Amino acid sequence: MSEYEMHVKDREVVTPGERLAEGQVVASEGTYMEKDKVYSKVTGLADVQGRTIRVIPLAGPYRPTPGDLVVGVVQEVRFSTWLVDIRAPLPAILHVSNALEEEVDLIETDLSKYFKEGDVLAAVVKDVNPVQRIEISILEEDAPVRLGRLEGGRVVDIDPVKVPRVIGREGSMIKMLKRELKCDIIVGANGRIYVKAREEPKREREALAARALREIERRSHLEGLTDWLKSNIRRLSRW
Amino acid sequence: MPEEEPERLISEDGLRLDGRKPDEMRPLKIKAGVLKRADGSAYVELGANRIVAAVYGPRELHPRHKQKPDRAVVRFRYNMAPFSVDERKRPGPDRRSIEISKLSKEALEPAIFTEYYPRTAIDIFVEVLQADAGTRCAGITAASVALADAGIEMRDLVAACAAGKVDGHIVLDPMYYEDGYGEADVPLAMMPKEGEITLLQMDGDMTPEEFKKAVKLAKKGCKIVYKEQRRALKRKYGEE
Repeated sequence: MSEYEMHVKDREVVTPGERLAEGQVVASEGTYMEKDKVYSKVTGLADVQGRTIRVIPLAGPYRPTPGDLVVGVVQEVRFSTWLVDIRAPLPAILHVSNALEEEVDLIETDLSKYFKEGDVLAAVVKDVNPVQRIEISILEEDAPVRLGRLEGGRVVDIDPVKVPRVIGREGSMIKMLKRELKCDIIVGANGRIYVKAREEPKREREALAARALREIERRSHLEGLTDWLKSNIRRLSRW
Repeated sequence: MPEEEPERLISEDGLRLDGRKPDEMRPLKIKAGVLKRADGSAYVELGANRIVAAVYGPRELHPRHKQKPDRAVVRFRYNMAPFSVDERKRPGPDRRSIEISKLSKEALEPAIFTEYYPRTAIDIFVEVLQADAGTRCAGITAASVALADAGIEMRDLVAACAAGKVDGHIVLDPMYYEDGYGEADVPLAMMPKEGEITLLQMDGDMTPEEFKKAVKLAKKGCKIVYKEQRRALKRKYGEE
């Protein structure tokens, strides 16, 4: 077997340019190679699994990946597309062919009759090309939630790198929130979260959900956060 | 600046006005993530220098004709507060700050993976709250930490430090008086991992030997700065 050496421990905080490993290792996301050495390119947590090393970023913009479920806000209506803000460096493109099943005469119709500026959409990232043209779709059949316009409710933005914490291990955190708060929640991989209460008092429930999400964002590094939040959720409430 | 020039900047026992040895740096303090609204930020104290850096982006660049189809555009603004020096500094960009903005941008750009963010802009702002010589270096140091704090992908951090010639001695990290009354000043920025230099200037007169010595000394200073930059980033996430 070939030789390799890890210079960092699992879960260690690393900085850009920090040497992580050398030799026959598998360098995954968040790293780059020069000769036979592996370096970090972000500030993040080293994740060492056998001879595979990657760095989980602790900050940074949302980087869209095909297949991601995202929550976006319509930014601009164009001739045959909508520009949707999904918190990526550039707006995403939603083309009519990815949005409507029926046929539309583009010359005759103003697309804002379907979605207008400010509408909130659940969508799936379809493609990201090398010049960061991001295409999204609301016609994907195997999507985990119903795609398209989200009516009512409210939207909470959190740091995209904290999304896994909001979901929790096997969805434990998000399931608990949905149950305790009696809300429907859609967590976009882009850190935008849509909340809609199922029961009265709706506005208060949604406000409480927003506060709970902020709390998760702030305490994301703590262990046992789900249990803590479950027993304290009532205390955050003001009704 | 005192009204009169101090009689000597280096005492007989080789110590400087502030008691430092020639190869000693001023106390350096760096903090990452000091601004809530910016995507990344940092605060640097080097001697009496007080500098804040903020990073926004990568974000959509307007006007669109300035976008690069294959990479991000890095924009850098260096600015001195009116109260940062004894005599009120007239607000707004001037010849000097435009120059520093340009070369700071060029010092940082090689470290950033700009090709990952086509058609976007990365905006860096450096505000000097109090100036005590060596602000361009401290500004680059702060900006580099702010970029890493923003989660922007980089090959390495960029560390910067100056060396100078004072009373015929080559010294590390000149302070206010040494910069004002000394003979020369050599600011240097580098990516310490590979030792690549991204900024090198010289203001004043030096022999080639002195220059070599100054570069060597400034590089040594950068290594110290680099260590502190990394500590600042790790400290933000609870290590150390």
